[in-house]
Amino acid sequence: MGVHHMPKKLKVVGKDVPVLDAREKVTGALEYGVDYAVPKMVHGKILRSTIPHGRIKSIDSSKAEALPGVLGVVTHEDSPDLDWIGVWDNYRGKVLDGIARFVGDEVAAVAATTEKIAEQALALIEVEYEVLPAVLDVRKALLDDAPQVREEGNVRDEYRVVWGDGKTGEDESDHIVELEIQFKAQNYAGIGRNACICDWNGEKVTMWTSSQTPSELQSGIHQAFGIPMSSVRVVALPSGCSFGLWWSNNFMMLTAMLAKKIRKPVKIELTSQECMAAVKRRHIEITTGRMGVSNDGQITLADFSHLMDNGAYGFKTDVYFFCCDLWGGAKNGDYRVRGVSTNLVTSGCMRAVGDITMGLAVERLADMCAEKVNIDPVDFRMKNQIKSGQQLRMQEPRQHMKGTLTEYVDKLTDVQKEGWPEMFHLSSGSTHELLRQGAEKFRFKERWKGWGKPSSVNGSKHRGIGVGTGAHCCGVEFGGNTSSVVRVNHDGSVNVFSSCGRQGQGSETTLSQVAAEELGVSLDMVNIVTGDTDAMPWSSGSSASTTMFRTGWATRAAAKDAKKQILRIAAIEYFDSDDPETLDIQDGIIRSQNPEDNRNVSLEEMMNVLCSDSLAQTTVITGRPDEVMPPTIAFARQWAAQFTEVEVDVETGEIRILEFLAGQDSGTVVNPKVLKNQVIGGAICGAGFALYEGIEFDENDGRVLNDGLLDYKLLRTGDFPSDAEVFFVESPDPVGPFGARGAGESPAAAAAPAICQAVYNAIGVWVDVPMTPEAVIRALNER
Amino acid sequence: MANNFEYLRPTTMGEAVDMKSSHGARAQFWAGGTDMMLQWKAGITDFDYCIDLTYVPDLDQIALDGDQLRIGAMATLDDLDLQSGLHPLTEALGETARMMCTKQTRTLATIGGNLCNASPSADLSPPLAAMGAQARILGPDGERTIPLTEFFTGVRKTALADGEMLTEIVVPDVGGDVAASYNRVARTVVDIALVSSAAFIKLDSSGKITKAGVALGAVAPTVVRVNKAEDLLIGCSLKEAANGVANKAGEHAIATANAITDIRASKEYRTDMTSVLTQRAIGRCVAILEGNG
Repeated sequence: MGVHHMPKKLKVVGKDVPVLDAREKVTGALEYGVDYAVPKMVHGKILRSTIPHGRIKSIDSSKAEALPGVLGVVTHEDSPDLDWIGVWDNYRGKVLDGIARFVGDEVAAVAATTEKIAEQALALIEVEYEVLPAVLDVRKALLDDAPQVREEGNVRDEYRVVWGDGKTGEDESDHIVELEIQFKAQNYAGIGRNACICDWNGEKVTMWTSSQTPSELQSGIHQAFGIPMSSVRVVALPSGCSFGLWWSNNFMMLTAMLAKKIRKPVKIELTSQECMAAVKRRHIEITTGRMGVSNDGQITLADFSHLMDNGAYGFKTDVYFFCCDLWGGAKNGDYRVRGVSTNLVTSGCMRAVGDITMGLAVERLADMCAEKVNIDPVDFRMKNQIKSGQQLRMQEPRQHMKGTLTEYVDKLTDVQKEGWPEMFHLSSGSTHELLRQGAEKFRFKERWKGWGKPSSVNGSKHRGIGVGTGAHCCGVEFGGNTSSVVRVNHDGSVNVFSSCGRQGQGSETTLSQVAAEELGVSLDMVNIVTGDTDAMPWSSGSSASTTMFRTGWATRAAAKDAKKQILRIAAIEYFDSDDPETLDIQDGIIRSQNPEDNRNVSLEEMMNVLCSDSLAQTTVITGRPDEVMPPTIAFARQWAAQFTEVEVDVETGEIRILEFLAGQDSGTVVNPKVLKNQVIGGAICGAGFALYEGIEFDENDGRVLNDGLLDYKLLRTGDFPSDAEVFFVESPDPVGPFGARGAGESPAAAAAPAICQAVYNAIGVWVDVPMTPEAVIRALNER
Repeated sequence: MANNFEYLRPTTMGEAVDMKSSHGARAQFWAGGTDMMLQWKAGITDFDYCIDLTYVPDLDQIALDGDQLRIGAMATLDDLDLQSGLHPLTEALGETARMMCTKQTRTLATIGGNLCNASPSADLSPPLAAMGAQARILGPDGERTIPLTEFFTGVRKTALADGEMLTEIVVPDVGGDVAASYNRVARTVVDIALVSSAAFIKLDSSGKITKAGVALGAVAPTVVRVNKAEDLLIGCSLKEAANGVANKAGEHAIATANAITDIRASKEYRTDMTSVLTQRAIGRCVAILEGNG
């Protein structure tokens, strides 16, 4: 059963403890992929395509192989004839297949004694291409006569969410507004590069690399090379910020190919240009939408068509857009998404995938509707956004391995579903309380001057306020379930084994807090392994805002299981065979829950006795989840509502963010410091997307032109108010650990609409993102 | 990947010039290295000898010398910031420096390096050009001084001949009532200018403008002075400069600009902004001289 109650006051969860690796990070002791080295390691470099589309007619590496210091070259001829699938279909294909699909695509790789020799050798590899026509335009890629990027064709199946009836919606609308907006691809642009080391020793493959998804990477190697998972050990190292970039990437497979060929550990370290132009990016997305509203402010129609490009190797059919749940109060909805391949660098899931783009288009149309009926944006959201307990919209058609999720859930027995929240209904939280409290803190109603009206004007400086909302899932089951193992040692200390990423989001800390809380020990007694697949159970990694909710649930369930075992033995050994359910562990002491019962034994003593007792059947206690987690996609969401004031210079188009207030409902806050960091980081990511960020592709060959931070403009801390405030609404989740839910993505989704709306209010004209100074001036001139 | 090079450390200007002369094009001067290191790593520049100027004394002074403002080529951008209070013109240059890169980089990056890099978007070029700054150059044949506007000959090209080094920037005639202002459009707080404009004004004792400079950045291969705007300003009162003349100066700026379109901005936007920024720069100079700066 999935419902957890809170029987006691929390001692570790909810505490503002610093992240456990803070000291290592600050002193530089923490080793990331690029820092890591193993004995006898040699170096690899990747040869990349110079054309957007071509079949390799011949590839001659003999000159490269003859260069002193070169240990081996791999080409598509060395590649196994096996497809591997990256996390959430962010990659699908062979490691190499003799076709170059974008400028920068991997063509071959060299291993040498030094990185410099490897690089020199690249220049000696002669490749002859049969040049194929390329498709660089997302809309053109849809056409029947477009060059086909993949064997499967360019166009993926349409994904559709429908409720109500569009015609009825039109009839009920007093106003219908429309827009078409094309979003540039955002670059992950994480600070910090990545490297991969692989050792192929006998039948055992070991890989060290920064990854958010250790288990999926293990699966990927298994698929790509057709070897048993038991032969694959991934040691996932912490990454710098990742935002979805470092999951299971093909350059890791290429490293493994080199290691297999030369039988020495090989390290491929990517340059910052490779990280920004040859791995992955957010999709280019085009939203066409219509929204209808009746004069009382009720959304009557939401009709959206969304096109996203998968680049060369992405294979997604949709972009997980939870905006249709967020605006679930709409009476009639029809959301359609198509994915299409292009000869551009692969695209994939980046933080707030779908919701930062399509969600922004939905928010803008909603704002346009609100203006038509003259309702302020806070009230309009409260009226039309989903409330706790209401039906969710988008999970209905989702595919599960056993059919649709609906079919899957329908087939479950009542016993299996016992204690589950109502499926396909929102279990807890919403934007309502965030909007109410946020509007009060921001004094929104006092400051609101009306749609398209600045809050103040001083010469060329126009100020405006805005509010935006965002939602996202708290993990999705379809990529695999989560698990954790908790081991209690002889001294009462605890090891947690949870496969997840460490991309700065603090999971090592928050998962340890969950285990400590459940087991009744202090945090310093807990140590966690997050990266080593030889030690950890397979678990869906840190993607889709999974970790706190689902891996946290699994960690708590594993700790409960360990605790149950401990208390069962303790009851016999120390508590006269009392019912173990009457016992508890608090501060490392096993005692009765009855305060008048003074019997007690320390966890350490109990565990020591267990170990030294030759009749005992175990030495340490190992706990694992022994209950079923309900499919979270069918009930759990995270919520953000953010308020801002901006200043627009109407002569130059420059925008400054003056004030920012971010409200977050992620259920119980396990660690306020960690969550605040997530929320502000997300808001800055969304704000960057609103103001400056966007990949520029060469119109002739599709190469990434702004492949460095000189011209890919990330917001700096100086671009965001240093006094930005965060507040939490803690609607406890019925399933999540101690009531916690996911957090990483909704804050990124809420920031862009808040800033766009504020700019609109400041200058009276909507500006498409990125709202660069020039884009603002253009919009003003076109008014 | 870049090649290795030999590191040389002269301790006098003469020694530095000798080294450069003897190694010719295979040698490069190292000032702060903040641009050069990136170019070297990216393979844009390549050299066998690196002549580090860090240990040559007296190249990093920022000082008033009579009615001249002298800025050593090895003074850092951070030095320029720290010397803001020295003079009204260092006030403007310090403000310009603070727009550039980050505090950390400013402590390394030098003024000479910024100018010798000869980027069309360099932030220091427009204010110095507007002020009528001169470049002092030392070479195997001795010293010469040329107007800064002649120092830049193209994108990443300077008038430095083989074996020559930039030693100092001299701004002449800085006494009396002077003011300067640099304005630019950039994207984030750490960015290079998309387009920029600087103005300089000097008043005579009767309150009329006796000298004026207007210079634009990032709208041509080199910094360009807007002579027609300068001519308009000379002889005006501050009131006239602020009311109407600034506007006309802006029109001249547009006519002078020869901008291009690239991934940062379009030709049209850059050109239009020269007017806005020039008006703002003149307006700011007027405000400073009226005591409202």
